[in-house]
Amino acid sequence: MDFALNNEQEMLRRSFAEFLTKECPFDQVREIKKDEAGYSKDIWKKMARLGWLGLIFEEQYGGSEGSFLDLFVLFEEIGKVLLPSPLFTSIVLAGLLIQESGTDEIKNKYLPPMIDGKKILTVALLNEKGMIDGDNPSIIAKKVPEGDFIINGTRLLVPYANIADEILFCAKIEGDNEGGPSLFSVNGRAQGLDIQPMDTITEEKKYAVVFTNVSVPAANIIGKIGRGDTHLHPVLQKAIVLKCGEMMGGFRQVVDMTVEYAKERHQFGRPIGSFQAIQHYCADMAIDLEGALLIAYQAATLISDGVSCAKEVAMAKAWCSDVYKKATQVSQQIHAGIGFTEEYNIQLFFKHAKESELMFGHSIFHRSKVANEIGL
Amino acid sequence: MNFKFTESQNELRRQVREFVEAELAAGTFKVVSKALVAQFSIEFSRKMAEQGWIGINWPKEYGGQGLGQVEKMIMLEEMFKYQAPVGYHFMGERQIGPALMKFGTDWQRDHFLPKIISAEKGIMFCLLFSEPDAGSDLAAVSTTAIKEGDDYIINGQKVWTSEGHVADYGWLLAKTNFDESLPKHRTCSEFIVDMKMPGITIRPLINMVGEHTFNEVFFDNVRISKKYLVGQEDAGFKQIMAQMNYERSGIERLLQNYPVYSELKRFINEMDESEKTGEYFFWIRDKMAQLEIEFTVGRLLCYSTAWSIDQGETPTSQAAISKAFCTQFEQRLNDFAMAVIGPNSIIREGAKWMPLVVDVAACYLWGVSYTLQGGSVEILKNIIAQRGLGLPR
Ligand SMILES: Cc1cc2nc3c(=O)[nH]c(=O)nc-3n(C[C@H](O)[C@H](O)[C@H](O)COP(=O)(O)OP(=O)(O)OC[C@H]3O[C@@H](n4cnc5c(N)ncnc54)[C@H](O)[C@@H]3O)c2cc1C
Repeated sequence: MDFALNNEQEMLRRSFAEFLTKECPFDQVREIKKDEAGYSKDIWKKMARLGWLGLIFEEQYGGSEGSFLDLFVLFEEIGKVLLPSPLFTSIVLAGLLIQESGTDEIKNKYLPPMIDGKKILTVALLNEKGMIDGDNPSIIAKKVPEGDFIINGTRLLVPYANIADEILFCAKIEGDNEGGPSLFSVNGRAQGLDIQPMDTITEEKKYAVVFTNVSVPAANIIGKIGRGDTHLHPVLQKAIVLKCGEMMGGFRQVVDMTVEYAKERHQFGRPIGSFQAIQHYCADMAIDLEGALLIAYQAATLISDGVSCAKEVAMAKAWCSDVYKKATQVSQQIHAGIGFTEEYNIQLFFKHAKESELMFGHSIFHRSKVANEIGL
Repeated sequence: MNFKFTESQNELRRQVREFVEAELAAGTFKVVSKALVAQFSIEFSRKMAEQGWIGINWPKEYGGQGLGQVEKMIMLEEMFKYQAPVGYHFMGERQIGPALMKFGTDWQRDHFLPKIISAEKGIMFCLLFSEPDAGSDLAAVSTTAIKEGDDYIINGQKVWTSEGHVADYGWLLAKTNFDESLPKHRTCSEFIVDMKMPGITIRPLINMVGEHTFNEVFFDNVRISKKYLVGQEDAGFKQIMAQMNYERSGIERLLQNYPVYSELKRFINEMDESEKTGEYFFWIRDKMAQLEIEFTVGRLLCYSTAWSIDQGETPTSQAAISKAFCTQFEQRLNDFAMAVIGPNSIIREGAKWMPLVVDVAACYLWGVSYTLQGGSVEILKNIIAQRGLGLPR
């Protein structure tokens, strides 16, 4: 057993943290959110130059073949500053789908420019009901005699669809009742794609993507026809764990900011942090944080080691979702009036926690997976 | 970072499990689930000593195996899964031994350590800390130990002394300095007391479960030799606090009712198929999954604290986190188990219709005490907030 990161990983963490705190203070986060593109090209370029966009990709495509745990640590640091960027959707979701399921040709086409930061990819996962329907997608692909596919359907809350060079999605091939869904990629500016911004509580760039008779060449199928769900599943597992990493970064920051505030804010002639009610709120947060870090890191190390861990992943997402959200609620209570203002930064985490809880399944969903895993 | 046990740790676990299962099969003990380390048997402790499992984490120079806190936890985890009767040597091994190694005299070490580690007859310890007016505020003890020549004369009253009526020795905290200008945590000292000394009266207290495990202990001019003073005079409180991490990080805080946990899973699995549908069963699945997650979190907290101790750290806040979380988990477990089982769950042990192999009702009642002993959950939160997070007093 070893519950600490090794020296290399600690160094990596420090370099992530130094860069992100310098480049991405909260003012910058707010700027980026207002910006049309929704990310900072400058930060993105620098991250590409530092090699962070290629952390877990094969060397032949420009990656550095680092461990999954390295990427987890990066997301933890991102969660602390809430950097809005296409990292999650482009590098993790799209990048891993391509790396794990694409042919050499597809990988050569997509991965090097993605890792260089020149191309941005996204994955359209959620249907009209907000469900990830990879097993039985509501998007329909119709094969035409020339061999191409005509796509119809709707995806919601697609991150960075506005700037994506390619959008990946699962579609059901019409008339094929045997095979499962297939994983496609479509050019972000293809004819028939209607991309509309969606206003959400976190103000990150999310779009509704409506496909109306969009023509996609058969060569754009990633992986095996009819096996899109099996391609998607392992990538989602990794994405969930990295989302937990991001939440843990946010959670750490919430605890730090709240404790800091409790030491500084005075009422009745003393710091509010000396009131026991406030101390016990903070202690509860610390208890939950300690446990959440352990259960999240457990899942991350298992994935890093290539060990199957459906139960551990579900446990991590369920627990992290609940306790991070709870901490942000309590944190708002401790900050009181000032915390409720738009201007004060703690509210960014309140929103982040809520969004993260709901993405990739909330705790009730994941507990039902845990129940399956323990034979109930 | 790595959450795996080593091969030799896995081997240790296998050995302990085999041992416990064999003892259980041979009828040496019964799975009784309720109190913290409720059962004791000198014979069982002897057998453990033969295996080298008492003092497994003690240094070799004191007869231990020189292994870590993690190894001790692995061993105890397997013991507590079946609630093996480890109570005879438990306190001595966990608390008294390490304290003597750190603060004791040569005579004390030579006299007590070999007896503890081999589970000799007459070496069971109890803790004489709490008093009627000194609970959470332990430094406020008013039992006095007044020096007279080469002896100390003890007067006063202790309370909640678990196993005081069966223990051979007590680990006593008493006031030795009456200088009012001193802060009270610098006025008390630690002693070892032979419980058979003249002047000691032990009165049973029956707890709300209906059982006799704790006691009142009265001292009336009890004379003990100064060689039983442990460590420095007036430094007792500090010495006790230095040991608290061992007490608080123990996996017994998670596993006091492990049989309820395993039995509950079995109970749910064996429910009629017709009951395993609909809203009610959905609720059961959700809550059981939640407990599975909490159990996992609690176990990770225990092991990571043990690991920190093995790294030479003093994880005061971490140990408090572990105990606060685990004891509250056990209360939720027992509460939920009774809800799933329904009205029959209030049937006490021995009745024909008792629904589980273990007395879940007793566990639920005992649960009240889990968040009190060894520092109430409120005191633990004070520690986490002030020592861990640095919030002002
Ligand atoms: C089953 C059982 C076995 C025990 N065995 C032993 C034993 O073997 N030896 C021994 O010495 N003792 C033993 N104890 C005693 C135990 O350690 C005490 O019960 C515990 O320290 C609390 O003290 P108290 O009961 O006097 O409660 P109090 O200290 O009076 O506390 C009452 C309430 O006030 C709260 N409180 C007190 N101070 C604060 C504060 N500063 N901030 C916030 N809240 C506070 C407490 O959390 C609690 O909720 C045992 C107790 C039980 C229940």
